[in-house]
Amino acid sequence: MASVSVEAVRKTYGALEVIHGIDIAIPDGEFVVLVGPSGCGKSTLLRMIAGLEAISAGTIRIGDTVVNEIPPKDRDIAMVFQNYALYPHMTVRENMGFSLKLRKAEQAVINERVQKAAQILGLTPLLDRYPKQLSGGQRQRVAMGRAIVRNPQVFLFDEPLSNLDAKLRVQMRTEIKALHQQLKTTSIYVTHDQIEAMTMADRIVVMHDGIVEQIGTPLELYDNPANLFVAGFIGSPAINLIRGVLRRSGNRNWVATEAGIDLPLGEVTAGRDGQEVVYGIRPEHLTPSNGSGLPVKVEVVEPTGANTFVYAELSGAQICGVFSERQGFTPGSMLHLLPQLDRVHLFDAETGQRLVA
Amino acid sequence: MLTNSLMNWSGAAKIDGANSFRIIRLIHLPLMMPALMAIGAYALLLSADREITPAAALRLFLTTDDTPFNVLMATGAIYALPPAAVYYIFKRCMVRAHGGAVRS
Repeated sequence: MASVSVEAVRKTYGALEVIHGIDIAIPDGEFVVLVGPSGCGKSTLLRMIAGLEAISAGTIRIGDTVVNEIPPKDRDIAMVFQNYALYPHMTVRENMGFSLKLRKAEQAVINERVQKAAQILGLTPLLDRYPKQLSGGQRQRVAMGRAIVRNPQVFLFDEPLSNLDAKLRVQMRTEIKALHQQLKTTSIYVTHDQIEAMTMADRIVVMHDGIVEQIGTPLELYDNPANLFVAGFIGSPAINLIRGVLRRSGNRNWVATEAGIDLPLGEVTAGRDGQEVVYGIRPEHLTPSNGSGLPVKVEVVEPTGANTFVYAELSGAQICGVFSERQGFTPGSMLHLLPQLDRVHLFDAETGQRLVA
Repeated sequence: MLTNSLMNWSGAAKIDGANSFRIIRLIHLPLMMPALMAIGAYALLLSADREITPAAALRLFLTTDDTPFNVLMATGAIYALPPAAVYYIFKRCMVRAHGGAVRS
């Protein structure tokens, strides 16, 4: 096991720069998730750590070694690919033992390691099958087994669950997390799915357009998003964001929207009177109330069983609420919503940065 | 899809510790076998039609005024056998293609 550090790393393709100087320090044994929308550079960064892409500038260290010029096979890493990349003409046993065979390990050692990995992953009865004879989840497990037999310093995962169906994805998510708790190998996991990131990560790195927007534990990102992008990306259904002007008068603070609605704020708040801001409140931090609160018109009601999602209109803006009580919400009816004041986020409308009191 | 898969296989093999030569010999070549077989079979069948003299000689029968159709058909049937045999042998190799190790 080893720490990984990424220092001022850039990637350019000709004149086009896709990664604009990234710094991430990953301590030994941590499970870090790189998350962001398509094209944000997260996979490229992972492939640079793996050694499959050249590093244009900056330094990547694994343990104490600078690996910039070291070929992938000598970096002591293992990678799990999105489409498994199993070798189709080899059995599960051969697939898992391939890297050891190339390293000229003794057959007895190979057998022992493959057996052990197969046992951890529950693949023992499938060792003599070919990839085409396996289900999607089993193939994914073989891909992980291939990584485990190497006993590497670092595991790299490139969207390993994107090809599985929803139910299997949830199951494999838990399996990978349990596996990490068992092996405690430093892991870097790339995904575009924020739920995967939230549930699996020790720490999340949110990337956007080749830069790091924020690094933190899942709950830090959820409770204190550094900017509008992170606020909008983390959380499902997405946070409600409403533009307005900050008003401060004595003890009372509020945000006035263009449509003439006053959004309530707590007594202590950041920002100055008259500043253009974006008011953010997560759907789960709205409570239905009688009479007081924001008047909204219910448009769509989505019962999920545990929760009810209510999409409503607040003077032209759409607002979403998530409620655990089963109230009889009917489309077209009026409803009052009360934001929990200590859960309101304020962002500068121009820079998108969070305003801190 | 093919280039993407080949890239992923190459990446996986590189991390597993194979050099370029071994990637081609141990990964790419075995995976290309069905395609190579298919091309080989086509080449053989095409050349059988043009180059192998007995097949070409069949045309000689057509030059005379009273074409002996019975002889023509009998010889034709016999000469059709080797290419057919080749076809069926190679077909078995071709459909034994590998699948399922990647998902696209």
